[in-house]
Amino acid sequence: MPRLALDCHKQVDEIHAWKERIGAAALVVCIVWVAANFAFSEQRDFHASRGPVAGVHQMWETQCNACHTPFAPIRSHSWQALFLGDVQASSQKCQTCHEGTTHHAGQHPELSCASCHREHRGRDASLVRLTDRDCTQCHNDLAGHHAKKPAFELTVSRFSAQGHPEFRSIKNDPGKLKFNHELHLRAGMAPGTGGGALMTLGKIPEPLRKRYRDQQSTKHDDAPVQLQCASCHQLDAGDLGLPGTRSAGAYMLPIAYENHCQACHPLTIERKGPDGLLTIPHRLEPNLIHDLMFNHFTAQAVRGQPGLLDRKVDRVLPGKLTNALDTTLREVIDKNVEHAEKDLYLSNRLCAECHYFDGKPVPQAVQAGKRPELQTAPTKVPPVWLQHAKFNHTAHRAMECAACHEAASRSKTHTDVLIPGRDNCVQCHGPTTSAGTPGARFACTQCHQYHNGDHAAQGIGAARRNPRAGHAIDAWIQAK
Amino acid sequence: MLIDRESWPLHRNWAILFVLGTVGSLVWYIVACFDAVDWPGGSSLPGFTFGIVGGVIILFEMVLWLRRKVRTWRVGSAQSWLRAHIWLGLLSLPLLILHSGLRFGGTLTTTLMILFILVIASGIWGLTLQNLLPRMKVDETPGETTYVAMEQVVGQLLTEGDELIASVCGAKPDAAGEEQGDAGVPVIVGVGRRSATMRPAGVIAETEPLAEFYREQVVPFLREGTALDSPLANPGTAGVVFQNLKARLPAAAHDVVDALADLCDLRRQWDREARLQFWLHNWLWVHYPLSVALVVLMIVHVVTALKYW
Repeated sequence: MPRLALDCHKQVDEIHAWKERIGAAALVVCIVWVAANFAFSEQRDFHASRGPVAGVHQMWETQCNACHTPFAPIRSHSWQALFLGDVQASSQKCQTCHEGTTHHAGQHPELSCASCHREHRGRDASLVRLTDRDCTQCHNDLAGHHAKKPAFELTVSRFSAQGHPEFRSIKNDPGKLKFNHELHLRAGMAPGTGGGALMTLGKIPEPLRKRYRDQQSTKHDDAPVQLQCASCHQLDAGDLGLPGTRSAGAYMLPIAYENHCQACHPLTIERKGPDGLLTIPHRLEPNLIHDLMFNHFTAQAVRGQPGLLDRKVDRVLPGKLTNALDTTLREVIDKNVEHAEKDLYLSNRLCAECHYFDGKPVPQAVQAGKRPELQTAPTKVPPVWLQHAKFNHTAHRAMECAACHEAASRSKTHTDVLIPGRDNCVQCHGPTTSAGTPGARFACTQCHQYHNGDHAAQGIGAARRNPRAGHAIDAWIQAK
Repeated sequence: MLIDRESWPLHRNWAILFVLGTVGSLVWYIVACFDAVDWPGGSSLPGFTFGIVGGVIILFEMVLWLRRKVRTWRVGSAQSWLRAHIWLGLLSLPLLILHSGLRFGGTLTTTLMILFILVIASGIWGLTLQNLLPRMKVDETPGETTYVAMEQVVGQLLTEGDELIASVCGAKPDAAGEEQGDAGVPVIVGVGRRSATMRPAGVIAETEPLAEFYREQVVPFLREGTALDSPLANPGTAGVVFQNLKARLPAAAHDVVDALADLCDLRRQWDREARLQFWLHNWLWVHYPLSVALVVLMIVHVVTALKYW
């Protein structure tokens, strides 16, 4: 029978001996690696990073302290923020480059930057495309997150017919510019059963005619002008050939008389005389137009009576009226000016065709020999309608205009708001459903900007977002 | 450690703790998800708690090593410690996965998670082997001996063989067992076998082939085992070889041949036992050193995570 030594259990077999050796080696390797990393590596904490930072911050990937304040939570939401450090300390580091703006002065809690802008999610992760939760944490119960009674919708849960209010900025049209979309979209602007001549290509002055001819299929001079939406509404993308570099075309350019109206609506006053037609420059106020016309008709009158130029000029005594000849000529001039002003402000053909006027009622305001007591009412056509959100026409260029602005072809008055509302957007922007919503992106940040968000047309280059001071290259690299 | 129907009552409470811990942590995590914009990670309250508990479990798991080093330590039986080691180790898996926020993270945390998964996987592999191989040992090696004393008992086999041949053939063949050391007072364990119990009547004539066979075939095989390219390494060929040997010997020597066959069979069993023993414990070569690395890097992780919340 096998006979064993009594102390054999004290012996260590080779398997367990090797286990101990490998374990000891692992311990030594780890300790040496950690110690060497701590002692010699300038990036000793980098390995502790929870993931790559976004591409815009990769320059400071290995400099944890560029953004972090040691032993202080970086996010306001962290439960440990109640016990540890100053949460805003890291935000101050962000703001050396990103000044940002306060979203709302009365908001609470005051969030740190990293509460919403979450880093370490990979090179291509967006720091500004936030989850709805970042917004709805306050906006779902705004009353509870605002020091005073907020002037905004108190409950916004998500972008949907139920969860989001109608767009406030399209409740009414603040504009003061008369315009009939329906008429302008008619071929030749046919004025209806009452008759009237059609506007044809041949009536457009030669330098401008080509542009309109190119837009339509029938191109001969007798062809009625057929306007398209794009004849007037053009993206800020260089289509007009205006000088300077244009943006990517997110928004429509403001309508400008010179670009979009003048071809059919010249501001010419037709009075008989040797000088022919007088063209009034656009954007002049009535009192300046009065002076311009007075000078024009005075010159015309003088040229009509060349003997006046050779007449002896009487000395004008203080307090004494000028002679009868001047008075007579003034009457002629004033009458011409008065007629022209009535053309401008009463005929519904020139200025008054589009503009409203402030001051006295126009018939009383226009009197011979006096400057009209009128001011052109500011047009107030919003350059951007959705003032609290961003919109990109270029992103929607595959759609026909009428898909969203379908009421435009029926609108006869400028008071019609032709900007589509929330219900138009939710047709596409919402979660994919069996009911047919196609599932276009509908996150809050798809339309809203947190910082400076009340300036929809201002991008990240807006001055309000600039840092307080510029950096030298070395300081920039070292995040100081 | 066996986990079977018989031992299940000892594991039941631990298993319940594991299930409750897993389900409870999952529920807490899911509830936290409703209130979060992202998967809650280590800095969230549940994530931080899971990290603390998981870290403490890992440290406790390492104490098992200390417990085994100090066998006289009266803090529960080794079996109880091993059960706690197994079930708490398993519980740490869901806890630390939830602690990670379902992300690998950066270099250190990715390394930690890989190490952790390898440690857990090697532990489960080891547990599986420890539930399968002991049964195979019982079935395939009835002559099992103590693995750590394998060299010693092989020497005893040679001594027994030498004495048997000497008593039958009249002289010690080569004193093969002398060098193996017949250590002190023998302790008799294991199954009985003929070589140790038979007492031949005396020297048997015409047994030179037996002595020669023993010297040239049996002794090398008993020394080297199945690693040797010997016909005795295989039970089938060994049977044939021993039958042929009997045909060349007088009938009185046949019992001695059977006794030698027993010795060779025992040597084969011990080789098999050694192989099973190797597989029964070699997973520790992965499990243990990776656990050591895990603990070191975990400490680094704790410090840096607290530094950069």
